[in-house]
Amino acid sequence: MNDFLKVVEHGLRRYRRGDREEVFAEITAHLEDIYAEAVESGLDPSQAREAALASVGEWTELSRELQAAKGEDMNGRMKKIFIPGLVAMLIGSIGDRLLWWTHSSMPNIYWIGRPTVPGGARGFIAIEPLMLVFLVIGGAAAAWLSRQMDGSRRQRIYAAELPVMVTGGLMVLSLSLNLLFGPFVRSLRGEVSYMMYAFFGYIIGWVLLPAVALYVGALPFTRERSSSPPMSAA
Amino acid sequence: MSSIDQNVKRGSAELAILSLLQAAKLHGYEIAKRIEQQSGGTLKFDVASLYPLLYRMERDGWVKAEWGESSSGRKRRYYVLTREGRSQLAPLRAQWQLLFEALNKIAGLQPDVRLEGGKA
Repeated sequence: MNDFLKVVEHGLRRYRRGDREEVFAEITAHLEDIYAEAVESGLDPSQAREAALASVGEWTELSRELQAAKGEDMNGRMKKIFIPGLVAMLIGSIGDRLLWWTHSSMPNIYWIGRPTVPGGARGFIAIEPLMLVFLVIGGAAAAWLSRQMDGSRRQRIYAAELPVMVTGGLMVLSLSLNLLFGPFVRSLRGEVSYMMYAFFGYIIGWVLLPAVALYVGALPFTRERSSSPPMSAA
Repeated sequence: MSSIDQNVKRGSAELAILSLLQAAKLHGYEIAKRIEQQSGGTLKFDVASLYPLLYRMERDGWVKAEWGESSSGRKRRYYVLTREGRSQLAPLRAQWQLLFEALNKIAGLQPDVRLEGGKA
């Protein structure tokens, strides 16, 4: 007798939702029905088995399709986006600390454009080349981890870009709060344009450029991984 | 073009499944088998195309599934049409009817017309 359940468990091993036993049982039942009918129609057992397995096609693709159809659960998002994204943030933070540690004062930051506020930052856009290198590594690590967890291409990119999503979100929140309540704005009443100018400088220097660096790192891991070969006939 | 193709495929498959489940509760293999038989072998569902669609319909609340015993005594997961699924059926039928009528006006897609065209 064919043990299709083992074949299904192996083929759909990347299916990680909580209902996997139920899904495996259902797919197994379908394969058993195809097999039984094929044998009944006169095929020999190995041909019947091949006919049943041919109905699945590509296991990796099926696994992904089933998960997409069921909707990603929190556990899946955690493994495919948040944990890899946190790893990218960790690498970025370690890089940042290392740069501050190896430089007695400020790390090598290059400023572009004129300063926004007198006595404030030294230019419009800050570029920290070594930090961008760390972010390339972080983006690569996040996308690779997400791919290991069978994340889709979009999930791998989300994972890699998580650090800048957080940074960008915090900046927007900070700007909104400052505009509403901040003593900074009260002291600069009538100079909101300065603040907006500085904000766009920060967004370019600390969000957009890092986003590009993270994406560059993630790029090699956004291609589809070669799938596991379909189950062969016993 | 490929996205339209995919949407048409999905839409027609949904209509076929909902129509079958309107008459009886069926498990996945039975659904695939009946669609193949009733379409004269033109429409075929394999595991890879059927279950993602069924699970999507289940997620959307159009069908619900319950385990039961088949006539052979095996455990099978049976799909039942829900009230939501039933309410989708009439608009889906109307849309496809409209589409076929429109295409028929343009390209003469009725079976008899096509046969005549084939002979000519």
